[in-house]
Amino acid sequence: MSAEAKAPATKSAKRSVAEGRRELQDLIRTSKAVEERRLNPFHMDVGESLDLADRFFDLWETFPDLMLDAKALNALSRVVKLQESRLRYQAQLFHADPEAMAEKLKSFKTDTLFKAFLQCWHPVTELEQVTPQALEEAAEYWETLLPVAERRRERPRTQAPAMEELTLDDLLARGVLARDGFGSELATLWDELKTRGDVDYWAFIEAPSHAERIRRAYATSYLVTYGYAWLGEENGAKDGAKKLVLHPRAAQQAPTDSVSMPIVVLR
Amino acid sequence: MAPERKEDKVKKAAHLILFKRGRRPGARDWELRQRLGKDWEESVKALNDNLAPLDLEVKRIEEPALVEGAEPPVRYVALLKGTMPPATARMAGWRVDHLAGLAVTLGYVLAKQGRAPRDEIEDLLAERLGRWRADRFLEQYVRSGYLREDDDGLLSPDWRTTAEVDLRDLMGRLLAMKADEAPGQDGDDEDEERGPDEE
Repeated sequence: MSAEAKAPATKSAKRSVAEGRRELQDLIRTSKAVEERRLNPFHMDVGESLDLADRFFDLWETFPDLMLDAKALNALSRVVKLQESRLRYQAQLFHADPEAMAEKLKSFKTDTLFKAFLQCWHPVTELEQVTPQALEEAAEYWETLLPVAERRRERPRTQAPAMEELTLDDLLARGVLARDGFGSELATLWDELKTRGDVDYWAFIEAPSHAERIRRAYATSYLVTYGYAWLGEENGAKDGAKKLVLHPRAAQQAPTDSVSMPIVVLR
Repeated sequence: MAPERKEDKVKKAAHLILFKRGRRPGARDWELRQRLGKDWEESVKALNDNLAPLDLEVKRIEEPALVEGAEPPVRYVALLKGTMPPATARMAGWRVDHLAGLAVTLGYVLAKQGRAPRDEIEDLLAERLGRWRADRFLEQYVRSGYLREDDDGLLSPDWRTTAEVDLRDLMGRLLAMKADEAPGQDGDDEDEERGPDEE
């Protein structure tokens, strides 16, 4: 092939690449409009869009262009999904074209809409009442509340207490710092759980004091959350009542899905 | 300690479900289980039977899960079993235009497969109610729990709509209704009734 014959082919290929990028970007923008419910999903001909993407596919050589093509296909697959769910939705709730519905809604009087809505509406009942306990708490609060003038009055500036030095042992003694750190506390607890094996949750966190029980429950929540153990609900042997059982894992297994579960630790 | 009587459990269930305790009405399933014991469902059923003659019922509603794929939280609320006549609704403080706006909003959202852009709904409401009221009403619907707004500005039905509104019935009625011959203009209401969220 001669050089002159080659040049026009390169020039048209370059135009096509730019044109192809433009077309795909338009396609992606239109798909986004469908996803945002600004456009009827059936206004987009998916078959035609696929042919369009296919027309330029041979031209893609760089990674960004291939990514753009993949993005366009992804967007089209979401449009198809929306088309399908729209059909299902319309089948469920009678056929309701949004544009026609909007026109119809504009035509109704306010009173007509109000009465129609009342026929389908079952409002939630909710009672509010001041209880004797709440009044008692409020009275106690009122007794201790200083007048506004006094609360806003500037306090005489007192001399700040002299600074004192605290050693590491002082901080450890006051419980501000832990000698080993939270990580090693978790490791110790995990070792204990692995030694004990499957154990009732409440038996595991049991401790002489309430503060210690809370601390163990707190650390156990980390073990479960980060996959060092898992929490299951099983039937109790005695009365068949459900009980929480902790199961240790030999190695950390990051959870794929998780659910928040509140557990109240009472005194 | 003597075991709790059944009647006392039903009373406790009533306190938990009927009285306002937090941001949302009713009680979560785990709260009922914790306070009423393992036969809590029987107590809730007994409460439901007691409320029936008063045209109230206890309903189980599933709230949207916080994390996709997680089990949805379950809540029990008491709601009106029947429907309210317009005169009673007006006396209870519900504004005609407020509920009419909600009907229009839900009708449009449902016609758009359960999610619709907020600005389109605002335009729809503003045509009859004016821009300021349209915006205010939408804020109130979202705050009350009738609608939820996501990061993309799309509105969808929220927990209160799921609990209170028979959506299928509403759509059926809206589709079946003939257009009013003279829709007229909607001016401000003469009586200043308080809306459900207005202070």
